[in-house]
Amino acid sequence: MSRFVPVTVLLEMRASGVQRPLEIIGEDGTCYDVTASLYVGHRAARSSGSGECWLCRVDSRIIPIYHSTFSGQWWIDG
Amino acid sequence: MNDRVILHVDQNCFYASVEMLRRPELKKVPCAVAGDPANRHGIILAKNQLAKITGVKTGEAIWTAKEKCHDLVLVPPDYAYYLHYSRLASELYREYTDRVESFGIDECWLDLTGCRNDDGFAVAEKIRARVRHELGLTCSIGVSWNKVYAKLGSDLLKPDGTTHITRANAKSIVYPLPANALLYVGPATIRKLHRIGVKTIGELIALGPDYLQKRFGVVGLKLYHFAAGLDTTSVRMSGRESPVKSIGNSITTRHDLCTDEDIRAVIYMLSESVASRLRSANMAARTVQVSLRDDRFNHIERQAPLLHPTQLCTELAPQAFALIMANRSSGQRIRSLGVRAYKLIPVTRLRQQSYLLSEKKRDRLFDLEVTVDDLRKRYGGLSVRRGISMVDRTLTEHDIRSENVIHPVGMFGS
Repeated sequence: MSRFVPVTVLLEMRASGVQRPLEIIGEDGTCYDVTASLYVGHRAARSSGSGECWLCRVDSRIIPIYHSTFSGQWWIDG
Repeated sequence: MNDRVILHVDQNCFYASVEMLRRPELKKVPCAVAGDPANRHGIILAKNQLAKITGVKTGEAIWTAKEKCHDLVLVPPDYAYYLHYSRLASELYREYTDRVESFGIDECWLDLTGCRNDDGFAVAEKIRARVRHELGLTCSIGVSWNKVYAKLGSDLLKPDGTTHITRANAKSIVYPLPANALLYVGPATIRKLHRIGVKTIGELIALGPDYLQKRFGVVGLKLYHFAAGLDTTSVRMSGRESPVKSIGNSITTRHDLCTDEDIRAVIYMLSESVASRLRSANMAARTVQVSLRDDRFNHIERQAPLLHPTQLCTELAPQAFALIMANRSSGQRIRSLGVRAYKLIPVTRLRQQSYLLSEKKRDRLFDLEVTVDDLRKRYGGLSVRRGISMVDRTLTEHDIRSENVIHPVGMFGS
């Protein structure tokens, strides 16, 4: 089973309302640059819960990041 | 004319499913969402499949559930979180039609009649897949030409299934079902039906509308319409709620109420919430009703007219208290109390009457209660309290207004 990993996300919020994750900061403080992202709507996470989901390209890997509109928390599946 | 296309979506074990979504480790153990026994709400509100297998039932006391399943994991309810998921599901449904009518927190009717995509079964399958994929929950869906059969269908394939009841298969699916599978057929109706030898929906239909009306009155005729698929009740447009007919609050207290002072404190606490909600709705009550359940679970309801239509706690509470006192036998221990404002009228008419009566005192009381509403809105429901509530804080330490839950409107009442 996947682990719920809370992360900090640096987000670009454009005047048009579009939001784009720029950086993901892990639990240990390591920063990961997001080179491309795609918003795919609400998705159930493999770890736990469900939230607004962006598919992010990080180091040539595609990682879904989730944002709960209930708690405001960001997380990834570990 | 083509038949209507109505879906009824029922989220499976909703509270328990949302908790398992938040804490996936609960999927591996029998678990249930249960009320707080300290507040005497110690019943099972929802359970997962593993708990269901052991015989745990929704609505039963925690101690009997624990007897059936010793390792049952209990989780306290988090209504705000469940409401969040309920809203997400409703938003998803509204992508298919603007006619989405909630029936409680976890059930909805959708009317697809005339929509671009009105293939009920296909839409139901799509909704089920999306609810699973996007929200991580499962639901059962009934598809039919009326609300009652759609609801019946959603109860048949659990968890995560779709049942399509058409005019062609209705006889084979619906008729053999027990009569209590029908909406609003509860234990009391079942006892009456059993007395006349009716066990299934088919047997109920066979009695015919005339006999049922003669035997059970208007409700009998309604039952026949429900059973025979003749219900024509429409699915309300999203955001169009039925007009408010009454406003009430009730509570099961932490311990039984024995003294007049205890009863008065709880009555004032409930009346304050009712009056505040009346003011928010711009309505005034002409009648007050009280409900009472004692420690032997005897239940009574009594009502009385008010002197003037009112939105004031200071007028509702004394009348409600007097009703309780008039109908309570000496030594009777009260387990739960309710206060309800009835026969509501719009406040504009009230203000006219009040003006004619030039009741300056009432106007001042109104201003005072509105000011208290504002203070509570800003600083919390318990920031301003009556002295009477300090007699026994265990009884009155509740923010009734913000804890208020509105239950679904019945189809009989619509």
